[in-house]
Order: sequence, then C-alpha cells, then structure tokens
Amino acid sequence: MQVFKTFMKIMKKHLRTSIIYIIVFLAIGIGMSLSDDKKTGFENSRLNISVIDNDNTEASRALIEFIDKNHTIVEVGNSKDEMLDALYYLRANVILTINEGYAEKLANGETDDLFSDYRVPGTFTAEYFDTQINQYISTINAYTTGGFSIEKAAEKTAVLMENEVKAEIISPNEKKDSSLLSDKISQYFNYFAYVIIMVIISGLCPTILVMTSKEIRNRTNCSSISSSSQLLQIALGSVIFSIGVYLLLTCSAAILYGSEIFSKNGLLGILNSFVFLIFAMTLTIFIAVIAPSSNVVNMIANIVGLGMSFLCGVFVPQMLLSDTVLNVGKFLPAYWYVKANNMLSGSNNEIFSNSKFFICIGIEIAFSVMLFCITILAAKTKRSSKSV
Amino acid sequence: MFLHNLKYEFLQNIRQKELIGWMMLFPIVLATLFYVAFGNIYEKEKVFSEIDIAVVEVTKDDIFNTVLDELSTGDEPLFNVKYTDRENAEKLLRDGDVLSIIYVDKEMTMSAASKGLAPSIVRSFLEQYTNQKTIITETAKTNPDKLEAVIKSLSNEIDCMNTKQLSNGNMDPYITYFYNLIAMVALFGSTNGVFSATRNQGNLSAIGARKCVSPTHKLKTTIASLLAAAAAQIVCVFISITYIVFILRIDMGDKIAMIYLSGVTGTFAGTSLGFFIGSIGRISESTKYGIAFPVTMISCFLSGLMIADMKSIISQHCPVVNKLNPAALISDLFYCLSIYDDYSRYIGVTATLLIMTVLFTAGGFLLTRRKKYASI
Repeated sequence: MQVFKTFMKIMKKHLRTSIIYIIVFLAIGIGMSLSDDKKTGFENSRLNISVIDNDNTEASRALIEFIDKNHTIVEVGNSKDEMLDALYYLRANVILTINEGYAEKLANGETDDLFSDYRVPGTFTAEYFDTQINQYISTINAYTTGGFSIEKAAEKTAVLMENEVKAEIISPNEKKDSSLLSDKISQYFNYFAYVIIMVIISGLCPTILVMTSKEIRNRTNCSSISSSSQLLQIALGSVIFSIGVYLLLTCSAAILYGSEIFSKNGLLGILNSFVFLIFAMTLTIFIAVIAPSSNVVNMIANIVGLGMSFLCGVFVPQMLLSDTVLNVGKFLPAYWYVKANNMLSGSNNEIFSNSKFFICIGIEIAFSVMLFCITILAAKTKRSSKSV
Repeated sequence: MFLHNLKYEFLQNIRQKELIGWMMLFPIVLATLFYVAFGNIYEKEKVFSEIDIAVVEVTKDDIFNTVLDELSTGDEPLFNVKYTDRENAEKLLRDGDVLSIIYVDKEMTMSAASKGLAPSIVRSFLEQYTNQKTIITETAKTNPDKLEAVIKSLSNEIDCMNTKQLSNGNMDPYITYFYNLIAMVALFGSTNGVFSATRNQGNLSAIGARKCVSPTHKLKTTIASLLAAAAAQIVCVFISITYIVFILRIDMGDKIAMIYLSGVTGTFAGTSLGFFIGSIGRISESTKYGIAFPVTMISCFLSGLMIADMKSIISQHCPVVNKLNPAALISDLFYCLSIYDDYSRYIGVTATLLIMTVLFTAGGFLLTRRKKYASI
C-alpha cells in the first residue's frame, strides 16, 4: 500500500482549503439550525421598522404599540450613514418619524403629513406598510369623526384591528404533508451541493495532480508495483477521502437537525446527496485530467462550483430564477439535485412523487456516467498526445 | 535601474499565463452568472407590481366589487383581479397564476400558496374592508347622525406619509454581489504579491537567489516587484469593471473614473497582503499560496460574495470586522460611490485601505529584511 500511504501523506498537506470550507459550511449550518421555521398556517409578513417618536403622546405611543404588534421595531441609529446602511442592507424596511403634533392633527381630523419616513421607494414592503398605516389612520380618523376623543379612538382602533381575516395556505402538495422536510434542512442539503464540490476538488485535485505529475509517474512506473494496483490505491484514497467528508457532513446534519434527518424524506435527501457526491468525485477526476497546473485548480473549482450553484438554484431559490437560467440549469446535475431536494421539502411548489424523485436521481447518475466517459477519453487523448 | 527592474518584474508577472488567463476569465464568468441569476430578482421580488388575485363570490357583495374595481384600475393598480369559481381559483393558485384567492362571503376569507408580502397586502386590504364595515354598522347603531360624516371620512384618501429619499443611488442590494466580485479580483492580487515575495527570496526561487547577491538595494527591487505585481492585477481588475459596467450594464453610479480608481486602491491592498503572506517565515511557496487563497476567499465570504446579507449580519454583531476586512472595505468603496453624493465616507475607507497597504508592505519588508542569501 505504498502508493496509498503516499497519497494520504500528500493529501494531508493539501487539506487546508477543504477544512476551511467545511468549517464555514458547518458554521452556517449551526446558524440555520438555530432559526425557527415552523410550517404552520398563514402568518402576515413582519417588516423591520425603525420608529422615531417626536410627538410623544398617548396616541403616538399607541401607534408604536400597534407597529410593534405587527412588525419588528429595530434601532438603526441617527446618523445618515447608519440609516442608509440599514435601509440598503434591509435591516430596516422603513425608518418612520412620527412628527410633532401627530395627536393634535388627528384630533382635528387632519391626516396630512403626520409622518415623515425614509425607505426604498416602490417596493412591496413600502406598499405593505402604507396599506397598514393608512388603514390605522383611517380607522382612528373615523372614530374621532364619530365623536370619540383621540385616546379613546386609538384604543378602539387597536381593539378593532385585532380582528383578523381568516387566511390559509393551500399547499401545492395536495395532502397537508407533515413528512415534508423543514426549510432549514432543505437549505442545508442545497448548500451541500456547493460545499461538496469545493471540498472534494480542493482536497483531491492537487493530490491527484502531484501523483500523476510526469516525474513521479515515471518513477512509479518503473517500480515493481503494477499500474492497475497504483490506480486502485489512488482510487481507494480518493474514495476514502470523499466518503469521509460525506459522512462528516451527514453526521453533522443529524446532530444539528436531529430526528428529522431519519424520516423517510430525510433519508431520501441523504440518498440524493450521496448520488451528488458521486458526481462531485467524477467532476474532480475530470478537472484533475484537464487542469494545466495546481495553481489554477482553485479557480476552476470556484467557476464550476459557484457557476453551477447560481445557475441551478443552490443559493437562490429556483422559483426566482428566470426561465432562461433554469433551461440552462437543466443541463447541469445540480439543477436535478436541487429539484429533488425541493420535492422533499415541498418548497418551490414541487410535488413529491416516487417516480419524479427517482428520475432526478437517475439524471444525476447519468451525468456522472457521461462525465466519467468523457474523462477517460480526455485522459487517453492527453496521454497519447504526450507520448507523441 | 528601478525602471529596468519594474519592466522585467512586470513581464515576469504577465508571463504566468495560466494564472493571468484564469484571473481574467474567472470574474467574467462569475459576473455573467450573477447577472443571469440576479438580473430579474430585484424586479421580481422587491419592486412593487400589481398583485394577481382570484375572487370567488360565494355571495354577492356589490360594494366590495366596486372597491376592488377601483383598486384594480388607474395608473398604479394594486390588484389584478380574476373572478372565477373555487375550483378554477385553486388551480390558478397552484399554477402560480395568482398569488391569493379571496372568498367573498358573509365573512371574508382568503388563501395563498405561501406566506409573503403580497398575500399580506391582500389580507391587510380585506381587514381594512371588514373593519370599515364594522365601523359603519357600529356608528349607524350608536350615533346615526354622525353616520354620513364617518362614511365620508372613511372614503377620504389618506396621505399621511411624507417620504424623503436618503440617496439617489442604486438601492438594489443584489448589486453588492458585483461589488464583492470586483473586490475579490482585486484581492486576488495577493497571489501576485506572494509571487513577488517568493521571487525575492533566495531559498524559494532561482531568481530570488540571483537578486539576493545583486548589489541593488532590496527596498528598490521589492518596491519594483510589488508595483509590477499590482500593475498586472490592475489589468485584470479593469477588465472586470469594464465588463460589469459597460457590457452587463450594471448600474454602479456615474462616477466611472472613481470606480476604476477604487479598483486600483483595492488591488494595492490585495497585492501588499499577498506580499506580507509571502514574506512570512521559511514556509514553501505552495503553502504560501495555500494561505493567500483561503484568506482572500474568507475575506470575500465575510463581505457577502456568497450571501449578500453577510455584511449586514456582521455589522450588527461585530462591526469591527467590516472595518478591517479588506474585501468589505473594497466593496464599500463602490457602495459609497453609488449611494453617496459626497466623498467623506469614501475618503475614510480609502484611507483605511491605504494604511493597510503601507502596513502590509512595511511588515513584509521587515520580515525579509537582512535575510541575505548566505543567512537563510
């Protein structure tokens, strides 16, 4: 097992990048596992609103209470820089100032210029907030017109606006399926596609490149170890590394997300990711064959990894991608991988059925087989052109 | 002599053809991908457009129909309404042709395919309608002489917001992907920095060995090689910026010259960072590359190259990282140019980057100082 041992020794020296990817991925995984996404019925969207109260009356405080009930109140700071940053990075959707004289104006039946606000105009969030605030003001105004004092009107408005219209989610998956995976696991599996490609390529490629570099290959070739044994030992090393990474990531998922991973859909997700792992390994061998030098391996890995991820909906939900992008994506295995994942969690309006799911898995396998054949062809061409 | 060194250093740099080739290709491919992936999202997801809804009339409510008609016509309609039966409405919802269904009955109800802003707006509207009805019935019962005034006040158009703009720049948060992409290319200058550092060390390259025995002052050769390394990278950065701004037509503001200048500032920071890494200790060249690359990628990750919100998350929990992370600072330069009218923040960020450049260069130089070939 000399070749195998050497392979592992060389790989140990190239693991730095892989380890960094794994650590960052697990950190994100932990972050996601802390978030809470119960798939229960309809809930209104909550916006992030920053409120500055210049009026400071009972009525204005009642309004703040109303906003707090329906949205999240955030602090953004007073400087222009802080406010711009908060709006730009969506930490705050609207920065609302309740102008001085708010209560007085309302009591007199005036509704103009009660507030001044900063926001990114023309967005859904702005429209939503406006609808709600207008509703609130209109209701208070109606009550004051009806003869109530401003305080009483605010009180009555608060009570009235607690009435909710019944709303339900019609799931595209006909039966309200409780076996669907939660969004965070689905997200974990989706990111897995990018990470496994990056980890395996950056760990294996440089090692394979060293093992197959001209001098080393020539020297091993004139040793007593047969070439098939060499190949087998390199393959064994690669498989052990890949499976090791795979097990590490899957076990982490089990630790992070608990029993949900072992449900039927969770296990199908694990199967799906295993099939994708095979593709990632084939891809690595392909890149090792065509890569001109180990310096550019990282860059090729990034182009392939990030490229496939962005085109196939790994980072951005497939629903949001344009049809053209998705049509291109269909020629890449990650598209089918993500599609299968979406079926398991019911996201993206995908409906699970055994046949559809296994078609996706089949396509992923077909891609691996195809790429493997191309790799053998490329390796042969490269070798014969070198021998000439 | 300095110019002679500079020329040959530059030639050496651009003769790493594979690396330079990929360095040019990489951002172009990624920018194209970002463009196709994020091109429509902002329009589709964030910018308001009329909401497609289906209305199922279990009982007839003429007033409701009039209100809906009012809201679905005009210059800026809120809704695009389809009247249909329950079965068809649910089919439309499943196919994604409408976002919500309103069931008009004694009690209004609705359904949606998912949570989200559009269904929330629909629900808000329904609540408003129901509440107004309640107020009118209540007033009719308790205070009938005020009924007319109340109805009038309810039908008044409310204009209580006085919206001001903080900036005329492009507020599309997805643009940060492009900012970070340029920041990444600039920081890839670190590989050139490592290259130039190792080319000055006698134990790592033949050229380094020859340079060590030459009589030229080390500071001179170092500065020449650093400038050359940066120059080669600046070419790549300029290609990326040109591609993003002029071919993909991403709106990065109209201060074009300043955008290129920011690219130069960023590249200097990246190159000097690489030079510093390349100068540490006696570790091998490939290990130094192996450090420079992940450092660049982590820096870009923290600045939001993979997840756009990253910078915002960090600014909430550990703002100092954003003030020191080179990728975040470089992408900040482009952000300032696009969003701010004045240059005060831009100058601050530039100063931080330049100070970093000086510190890294000086640090790298101190690390390699006095390491004559004989003493390594």
